[in-house]
Amino acid sequence: MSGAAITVRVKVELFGTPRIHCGTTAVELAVPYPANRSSLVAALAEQCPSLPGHGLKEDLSDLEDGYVFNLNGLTFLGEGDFTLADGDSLLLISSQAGG
Amino acid sequence: MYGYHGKALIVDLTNRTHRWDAIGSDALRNFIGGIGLGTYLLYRYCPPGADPLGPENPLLFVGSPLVGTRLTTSSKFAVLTKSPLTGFIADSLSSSHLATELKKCCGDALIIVGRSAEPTLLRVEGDALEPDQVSVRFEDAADLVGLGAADKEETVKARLGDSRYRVACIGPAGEAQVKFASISNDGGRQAGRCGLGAVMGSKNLLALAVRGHLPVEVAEPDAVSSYGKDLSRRSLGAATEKYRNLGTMANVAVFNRLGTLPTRNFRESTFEGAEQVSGEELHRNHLQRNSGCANCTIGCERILVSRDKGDKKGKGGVRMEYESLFALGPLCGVSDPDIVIRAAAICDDLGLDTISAGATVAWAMECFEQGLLTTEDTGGVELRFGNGDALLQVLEDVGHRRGIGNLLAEGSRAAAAVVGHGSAAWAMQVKGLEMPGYEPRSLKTMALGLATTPRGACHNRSSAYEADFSDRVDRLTVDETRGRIAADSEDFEAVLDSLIWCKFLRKAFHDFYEESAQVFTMVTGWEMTADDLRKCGERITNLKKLFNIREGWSRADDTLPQRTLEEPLPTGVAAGVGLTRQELDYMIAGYYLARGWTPDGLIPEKTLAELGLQGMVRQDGDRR
Repeated sequence: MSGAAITVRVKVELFGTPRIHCGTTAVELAVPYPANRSSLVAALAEQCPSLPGHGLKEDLSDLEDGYVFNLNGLTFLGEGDFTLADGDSLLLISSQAGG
Repeated sequence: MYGYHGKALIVDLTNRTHRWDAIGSDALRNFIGGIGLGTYLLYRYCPPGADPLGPENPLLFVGSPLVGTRLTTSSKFAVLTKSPLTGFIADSLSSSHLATELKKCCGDALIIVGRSAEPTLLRVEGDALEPDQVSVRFEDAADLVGLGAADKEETVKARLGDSRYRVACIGPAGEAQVKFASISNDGGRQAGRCGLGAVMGSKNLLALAVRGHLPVEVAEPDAVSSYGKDLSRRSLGAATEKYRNLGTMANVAVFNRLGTLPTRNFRESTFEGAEQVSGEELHRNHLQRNSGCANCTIGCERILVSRDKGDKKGKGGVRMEYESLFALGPLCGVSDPDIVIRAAAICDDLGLDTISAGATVAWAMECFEQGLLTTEDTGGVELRFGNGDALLQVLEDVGHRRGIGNLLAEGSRAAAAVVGHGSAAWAMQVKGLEMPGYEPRSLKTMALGLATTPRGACHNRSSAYEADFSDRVDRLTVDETRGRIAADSEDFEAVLDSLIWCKFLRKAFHDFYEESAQVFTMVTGWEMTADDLRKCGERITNLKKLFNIREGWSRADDTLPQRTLEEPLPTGVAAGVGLTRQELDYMIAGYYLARGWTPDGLIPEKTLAELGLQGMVRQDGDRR
């Protein structure tokens, strides 16, 4: 055994304000397995330093109020932790759906 | 009386008379204002079976207790009538300075009946020294005939020589009684849906100008002020971030990714050109400025300009919302942002509801591609999906009822009845009102909302989509919870639209009902609890339904377009997902149960009694 940490590669797709601030539509991340919300937020902030305050909380504890994750375009993720698999796509979107 | 005036100004265009009618405190408490009070007044003033374009159909402009308080987003008013598009209740909201002047001039509502013999400007002005006195003038408006909505407003203001007048007017589409014509105010804001502009046009009323002096007093001014500051602060937080940055245009890219972006007349729910007309791209390449309504801290409006070398329309800036964007873009297969911006500008100028306009043209595009309409019908226009120039041409034709536009001006349901050959299957409307930009097959809770809401397919009177865009439900399947969710969301919207708060403020409340009840009491001095307010929402929704029943509603009217019930979605993450008639009927049954209605969707006496509606009407069309 090498002892190296196991990681999963996921894509985070950005929409709205996070996309504008990050300057890209999506980022690829390698996050520790099993991934949880805080490790994902931390990895995202490292890749996109402009996101804290624009989708991510400044202290990197979670998403800002008003944002949610959606898994693979299908499942909206609540406040708890979640399991990610290699190749998953997470959509970072506003929870304000109307308009 | 605080928050209200307890009266409505009734203007008869036929006889050129006016009077004040009292509105009792019970009616104000029970129906609040805006859409709720408007529904109550529509009951009183619209004769059963009225011809929507006849002089007997009243056109109501209704304020709310919050108008004039300076609470954020409260400068709003409702416009109601019997819809020429649906034959049922028509209720729309608009906003900004006109709301305040209406309240200072016309009391709690302005109710216009009759029909003027000539094109008319209705000018209502309060007396500065005797605020209860009002001067009502019926002025010749021949010079306004044919002007676009914005030009009409400017011409009226120039004529009156007083910038404090606030104006509502119709464009050429309203004059031509296009069944989905809108009413425009305050520089391009629209009371858009259900054909209110056609009713105004049927009355030969081209413009309304108001200026008033009635004082707007609240019971607890210090408490209102203190609360208002706190709410304004919250309105600038994360709960409104989307609306403050990209506005509602932000929906395009997200909806596309989620497989909920209606495309090419709802044949698909993803659009290959979505990124080109996404809010992010429009923000980057076409934003002229941000704007907002009077008394609003959110400022959701995005004013866009076209960058092409074509028609001047769209060069001066046009408000762009998601609904206009989806209807004039993906729904018609158009991915050129300049075309979409120009199309929205044309609609605003003509005074057309962008949703119904885009959806009706999309229906015609499909008819053309199916061979049911030809270039002989369209005056040589190749009316195919994606043909932006054709879209622009046909919108102009609709607004002036020229050529094929005369057919399309009736709306997709009526046009399909003329064209026949199965084209009703892809007339994407409910109760005659064209569908907004929410794909029901991949938003099952919203499917129920679209099918059952009294004014027809509507995303503003039912916010059932909120459950679909959350972890509360599986949006691709149905279950027994949806009836309650849809009913609650509808009642919530009824309260929101009656107080009237902006919908974009809704997440800024800690506890919507608790806070709103407290604000109502601070403003009016009348006790109101959160439960009372919930009951108001239920009462208002039931009264809307009663209006429709009186006007001929049957169980068959609560449904969705045939396409959505027979064709699974072909693309995107929801590919293969459909919605069967059985699934929809199952959800509708749950909705009727949640409402305490009969399996046929009628309202039992017991439910009427619980809501205090038993004395108002019977459901056989006779007033008590």
